[in-house]
Amino acid sequence: MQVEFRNEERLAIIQPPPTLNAAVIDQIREDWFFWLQNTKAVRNVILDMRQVAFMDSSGLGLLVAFLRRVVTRGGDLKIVGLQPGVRVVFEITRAYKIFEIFDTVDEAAQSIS
Amino acid sequence: MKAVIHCGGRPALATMLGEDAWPLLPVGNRPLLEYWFELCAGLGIQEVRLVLGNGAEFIEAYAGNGERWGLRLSYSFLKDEYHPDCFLQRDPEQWRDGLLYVRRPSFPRRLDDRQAWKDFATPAHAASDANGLICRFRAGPVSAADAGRAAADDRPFEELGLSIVPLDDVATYYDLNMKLVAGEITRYIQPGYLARDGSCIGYNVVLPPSAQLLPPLLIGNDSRIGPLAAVGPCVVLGSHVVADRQCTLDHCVVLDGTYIGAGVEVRGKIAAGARLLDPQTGAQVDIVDPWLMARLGRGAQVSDLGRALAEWPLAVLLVLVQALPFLLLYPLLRACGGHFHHRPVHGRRGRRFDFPEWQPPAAAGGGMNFLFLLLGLDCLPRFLMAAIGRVWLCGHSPLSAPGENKLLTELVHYHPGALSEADVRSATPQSGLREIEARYYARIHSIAGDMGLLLRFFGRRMIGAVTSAEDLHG
Repeated sequence: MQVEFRNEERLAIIQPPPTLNAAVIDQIREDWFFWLQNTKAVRNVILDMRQVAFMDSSGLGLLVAFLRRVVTRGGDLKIVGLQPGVRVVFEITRAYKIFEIFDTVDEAAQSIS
Repeated sequence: MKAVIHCGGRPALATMLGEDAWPLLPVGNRPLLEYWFELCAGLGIQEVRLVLGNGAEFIEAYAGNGERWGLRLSYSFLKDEYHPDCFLQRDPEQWRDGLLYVRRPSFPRRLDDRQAWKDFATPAHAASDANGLICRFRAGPVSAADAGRAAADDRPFEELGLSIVPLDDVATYYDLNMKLVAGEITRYIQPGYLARDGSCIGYNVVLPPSAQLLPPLLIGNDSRIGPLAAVGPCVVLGSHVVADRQCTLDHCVVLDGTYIGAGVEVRGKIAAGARLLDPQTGAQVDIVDPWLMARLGRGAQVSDLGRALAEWPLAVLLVLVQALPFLLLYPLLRACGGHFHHRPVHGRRGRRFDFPEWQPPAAAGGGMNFLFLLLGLDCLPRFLMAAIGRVWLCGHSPLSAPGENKLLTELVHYHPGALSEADVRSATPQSGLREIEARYYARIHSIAGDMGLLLRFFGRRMIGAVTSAEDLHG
């Protein structure tokens, strides 16, 4: 799990693995939720999806569950750099209405601050 | 005057849009081929020959004998590796009274509402692009040399009030559909379709009251829209489309046999089965979750159900009848060296298994082997395979795995059978005969044909036995 911190560790930028599908999603869910539970300082999270080339509905399910966890503790989740194939999944499932999607990490960070 | 439409090959557009042959791609809410048939009828051409290749059986099933359009359809087959013009050059005499020749995916776009061209004065028309001739119409003789190319005296199609639109990419295809849904469809509309308020809806379309239809839109036949779905504006749905509940379709083209899942939203795209294409960029994405988007299976055909009902009990009966003599003779033949060789093959539903083939004993046991073959006991393990559902009773000679994988992918229907034409053939097969039989059976098969094959099999065994016995006495 690749995480970068900003704003005195109140903002975390996570880089998910290149594939988010049913085969790997359980492990990722476990890692992310464990990490979230053990990093009390982090309020907001940016998912830098530039490396994610493939995502199916199970990956989307993970993002929705992760969003709920982050929002429950008073933070927000932003998504950055969707590849065309992944963007289509967001479009047809209307997930773009739930998530705020940005082109760059800086734009997303600016929207939080 | 005659028309020739080359329906084979796998043009780039058809490859991008899935598995359908290009003449069956929906334009508006009807297959592209239908527009050409209507044009032929309008031009007074009655004899239309379809040169088939990929997807031949679906085109045949759709077009039939052409009676619906007042045409006389005939079919020819041309292998994909041959150039379409080969067909015309074979017998140029046929085209001495004129020819309408459609070589590539293209659409005869009407520039106005003119419906009949019987009084056309110009003798020849051709439309070309950088890649050569797309479509040609010539009222005079066509020589072998210039069958596939535009001649100097060809005239543009615009004089007939037509513009031939080559369909080479998804952007052109999408634009054409959007033009039709925006109002041009009325130039082609047929009785039975409703064109009021810009909505044209085909036959047998299920629309619940809660579904929201926003014209203009075109919906083909046999489609189903789910409750609370919002369809339109500027939507073209092909035939056999299922748009599930609460989905939203907007400025999109949905190809035949596509399932759009519950709550899914498609805007400004082409949905072809599980594939989503962006007409602007040409990008395509395959959706892996079948509950979001999927290609509806062609499903088991009625003939397959009939085949299962007719042939499975017969397979079980044959196993029961042959079991006792098999148990008596096989151990003896086995002791003499007879055995079953197992060939890995492709079975039903893509499963692989070992297909048993009888290897007679080398020298001893000739009489027993003779009786074994006479009773068809060498086929008992195959009948057993049919009884447990690994193969049909009659069908294709099972294709070897992996040796015949390429042929398998080329057959749209594959019905591996315990018995096949190979079992009733007397001579050693010529090169390529096996492939020809496989392709033939993929297109033309019936329960009656299968029963005939079964009778011929046992008949041949009997005749073979009598002949062998006469040889022995002689």
